[in-house]
Order: sequence, then structure tokens, then C-alpha cells
Amino acid sequence: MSVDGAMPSIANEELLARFIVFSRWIRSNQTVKPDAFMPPSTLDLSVTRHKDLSIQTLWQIGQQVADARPATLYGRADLTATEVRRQKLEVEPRPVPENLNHASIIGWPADKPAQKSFAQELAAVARYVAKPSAL
Amino acid sequence: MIIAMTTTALIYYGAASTRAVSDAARHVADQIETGRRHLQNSVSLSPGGKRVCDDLCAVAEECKIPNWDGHGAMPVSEETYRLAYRFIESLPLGIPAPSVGAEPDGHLTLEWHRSLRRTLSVSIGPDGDAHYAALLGPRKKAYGTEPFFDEIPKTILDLIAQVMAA
Repeated sequence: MSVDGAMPSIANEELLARFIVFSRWIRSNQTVKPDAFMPPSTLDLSVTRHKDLSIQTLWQIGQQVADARPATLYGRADLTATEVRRQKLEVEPRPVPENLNHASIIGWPADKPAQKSFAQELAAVARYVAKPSAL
Repeated sequence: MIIAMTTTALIYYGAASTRAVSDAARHVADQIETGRRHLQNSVSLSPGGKRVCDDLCAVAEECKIPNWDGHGAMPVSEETYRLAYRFIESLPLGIPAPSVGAEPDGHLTLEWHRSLRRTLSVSIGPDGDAHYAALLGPRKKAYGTEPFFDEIPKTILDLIAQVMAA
């Protein structure tokens, strides 16, 4: 946090992870469906910043998300803050006690078809990483 | 009758293509094989149609509880499932089978996908509207909403054709 209390913004090159706990959000060719990037009614889509996290800690956070349902953690979809901002969306830090790297993708349009179009663009550039079996 | 016989022949006798020897014969055999694959994936013909309906049932069942995505998703309602089923039933013969998914607002989705930038997603919710979005190449896209009254909107049929065209 900066001296004036404002949260530092997320750098363009930062990687963001969207955890996948629903198998139907992954295609058979290991790409991610736009469904995984559709915002909830609050219009803030949860992601986790990779920043300063080991890969193991990142997966542990994903597992917490899955355990809250409870559900299976299948993997994560990675994309950069630049790729989010290219769609005229914004990503802001929203730390929570159980995940200080939590962030939200915001700035979504209100109408559903436009949201779907934005989600398609994000899914088209996201890289799917399956959860390693060793974890 | 002729169409039905041709369909059956394409599905069950496609394996004969391996006997082709000349370039022309191989081309014809390839075309038959392509047609056979398309027909096997048609929504209105089993096993493709049955698979989609089975998938729809499985997704609706899995997503009928709140927070099914671990991020606070709404449950999929009976009415949404019923409308999505009718949508699939209304797809005309020859349309390739979509894959089924769900969104955080409790809508069911049907996706026709050829590549990352040639893809169509249609959302069905309890209000009977079909919300769609498509990527149609590097820069072209389309999205909107059409009412669904037991007949697939022409806009959506046209988009399926564009996305799945060879």
C-alpha cells in the first residue's frame, strides 16, 4: 500500500490466474471456454495475481477456492493485465484475508451479449495450465 | 428416401474409401469420409444428438446448487434446462453438435467451436432469450440477443454456418 493509503495499480506485464473448478470450462483441446470469464452479477471477476507467489502457493490458493465449494481444482487460465486492458476492462487489487493477491476484473458492460463478447476475447488469449498431479 | 439412404451409406460405408487408388477416387473417398464425419456429429442423428442431451442433463444436474463454480455462481433452474433442451431439439438436421457449459448467472451455454477466433457461444436463460456472441476471424465479431420460440433464430443459424464453414 502506498503512503496515501491507495493500493498500487497492477502492472501491465503482471500475470493473472483464473482458477478453473468446473470441468466444462475446458475444451478437449485444453483451451478455455468464455464461460470461465463471464462476470458474476456484481460485475467483478475474481482472479489471483502471480506477483511474488511461488507456483506452489498459487496452486494452494486455487485449492482453497475449490475447497470452498467443495469441488475439484482442474487448473488455471493465465493472462496478463495488458490482455485485460486491451478489451477496455480494468483489473484492480482486491486483497482478502485468505488471498492477499486477490484482484478483480472490472468495467464490464451491463448487457449480457456484450459481456459474452468480452469473455470470448479474454478466453481467446488465456493460456490453460492443468493442475499438476503431484500437488 | 434417397437422402436417408445416402445418409446411411455415408455413415456405415465410409470405410470403403480406403480401397480407392487413383487421385480422383481418393478425392471422392475423402469427400465421403468428411461427409460421414459431419453426419455422425449432427445434432439430430445419434450418437451426437444423444451425447448433447446427455451432457445438458449432466451440466444442469451439476450446476443446480448455488456456488457451483466456487466463485458464487447462481444455480441452473429447471426452466433454463427445459428451454435449452428445446433449443437443441429445434436445431435443424445437419447442424454439428455443440458442446454444453454453464455461466455464473445460471444460464446454460451451447458452443460451436472451430478455433480460438472462430467460435460461437449461445446462452439460454429462464426468460427464453438466446444471448449470443461470436468471433469470426481476427477482427470480426458479432453479439446480440434473439427471442427463442421453438424455432432457432436465423441470425444464430447463420452464425453457426459461418463458424463451422470449412
